[in-house]
Amino acid sequence: MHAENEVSFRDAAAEALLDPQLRANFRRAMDGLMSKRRAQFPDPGDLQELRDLSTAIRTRSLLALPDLLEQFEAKATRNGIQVHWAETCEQANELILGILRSKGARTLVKGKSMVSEEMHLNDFLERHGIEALESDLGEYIIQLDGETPSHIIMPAIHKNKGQIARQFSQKIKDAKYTEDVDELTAMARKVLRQKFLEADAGLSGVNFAVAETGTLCLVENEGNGRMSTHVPPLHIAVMGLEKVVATLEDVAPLYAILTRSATGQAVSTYFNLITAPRGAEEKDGPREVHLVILDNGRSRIYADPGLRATLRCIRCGACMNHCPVYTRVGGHAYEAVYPGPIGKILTPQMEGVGVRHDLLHGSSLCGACAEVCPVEIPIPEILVRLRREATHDDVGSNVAGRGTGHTAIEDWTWRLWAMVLKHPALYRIATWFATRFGNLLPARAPLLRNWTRSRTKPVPARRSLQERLRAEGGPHV
Amino acid sequence: MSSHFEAFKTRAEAVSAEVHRFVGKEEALAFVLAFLKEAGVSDAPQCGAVWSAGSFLDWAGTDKLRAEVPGLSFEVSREGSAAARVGLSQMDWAIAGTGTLVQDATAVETRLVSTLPPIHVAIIGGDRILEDMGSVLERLRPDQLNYISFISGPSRTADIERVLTIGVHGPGRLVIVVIDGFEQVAS
Repeated sequence: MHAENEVSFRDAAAEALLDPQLRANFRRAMDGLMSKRRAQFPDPGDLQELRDLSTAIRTRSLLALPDLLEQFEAKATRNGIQVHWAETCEQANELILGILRSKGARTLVKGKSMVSEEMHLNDFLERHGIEALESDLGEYIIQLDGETPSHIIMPAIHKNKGQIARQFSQKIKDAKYTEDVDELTAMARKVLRQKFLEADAGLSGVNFAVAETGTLCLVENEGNGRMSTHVPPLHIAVMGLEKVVATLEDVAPLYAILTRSATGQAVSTYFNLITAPRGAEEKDGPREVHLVILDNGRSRIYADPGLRATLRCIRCGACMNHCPVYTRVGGHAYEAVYPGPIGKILTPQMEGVGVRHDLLHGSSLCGACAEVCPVEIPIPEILVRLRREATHDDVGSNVAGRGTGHTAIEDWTWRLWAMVLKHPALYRIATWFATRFGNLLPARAPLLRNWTRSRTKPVPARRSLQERLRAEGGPHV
Repeated sequence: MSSHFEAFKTRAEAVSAEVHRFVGKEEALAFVLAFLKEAGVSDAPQCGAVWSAGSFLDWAGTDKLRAEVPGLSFEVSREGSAAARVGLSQMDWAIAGTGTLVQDATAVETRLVSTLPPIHVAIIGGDRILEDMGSVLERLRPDQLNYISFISGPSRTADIERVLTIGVHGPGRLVIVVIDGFEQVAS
């Protein structure tokens, strides 16, 4: 039963659809991102070649994941990076708090990291008296309003410049109202530059971790990733355990397809390969580099060969940009850290298919996501599999909350249905009633309206087929 | 003389970098000095320049430069870089296919001068331009290097309405000085 499930994508989506500004903001942004991506892949043959290669690399990396993680840890440790493992978000948060406290750190400046969003790290640190400030422009904008990202690459894309201008003029000291994007950016730069220089620690995400060299790869455009990793005296990186690849040769194609799929850039402004903290004789740069590797349900996903492809994801966001549902309702309607198609399969697997059953049905199964995914994750297939998992407690399945995504009403409906179909006498009575009185039932009748909300009410024939055969004659009556 | 220069220049300019090519170190140095002057580098507050170590700088001679350009410093610190108007550093490789500069940034000074000042001047030998990222990774192994930077154009964002904005956290201008006939010492 999912009586505790108060989150409803259906309700949130319906509300989002009523906001024309929100729809316009997303439509414009997604159209732009789609056309920029298209321009990066003029030749479908070349694109497919790169996708095949990237898919093969991610699949191969996952096959060897336990070994690669061990190899990576050994290498990174030898390089001087301190590696920590966290099974849950709570453990990861505690680990980071412990590291910060051991250094007496009071302020943390953050580069963009979706894993830290998954951990709700900012809230956790604030509760423990440590200021955590987002420095990615989009993340900074939403943090000012206490919001969550509505897109994994463009976190503030739900806002237009007018909304941001109002927000800056109210929340940034001495800021005047302007809708000039350059000026807005300059205001954020000024505030954040000071914070970078004062911060006790910097945090970053990780795009790829290289097992053979123990290197962390960081993709970014703004320069805040660079600053988070070398301006403060302490650098903490966080990553999901699926991020590791075997060799440096694996990185080049993944990087190429990531930036092209994400923002339609042939290359990001900065690509940083971080292998070690500062040397003994150096005056600046992080004295210590820590890496927290988070599981949070990934091992469970990994253990199921049918779901493992979920972990191939390189977080480019192309599935969101091309999703007809996401484009119309935006990211917040999903009420999940990862919105859009990838979020629809990832969130229920992490949080339980019973709890986030609602997300599994927020899809038309059109397949656009799978068509653009750079690592060919069969998102619709996995979605259908999870829909079944949500309602059936299959033996041998390891999906969190399997078989709990149904209600008492659904259970009784199916039981009744089965009983009617199993007993010919009941079936005859039921069809007699349905043919005689079915049309009298209003479309908005309780229970029926769950069906008719998005479908035409079924109109039963005036006589059942059996009745007609009896009356009009035919074989096998 | 690199056969990849034209491709590199096209791609680098496409990501808003400025590319200049010179024959010989003398010509390049003359340009850099004129550039610093034009950028208003002086010993006034917030008007300095910071230059991180490299073989081009060794050749040019720090004492001579210090005398010639007031406000130019070779002792790179976090605070000094944050207060500087121009940061200069030498790159190790460049990638023609994407207009990217690649730097062994093990020395944190190279990262500071290329990130904190609003203008970054990047110096590179013409024969250091390679075809693609793979060719660079064959030569620059992170096993031995603490930090490697790949830089393509100035700092940028499109986080507000997808409007391209240059110079959000890092430099707003990236000036690339390509020098033919400058044989860099391999990193």
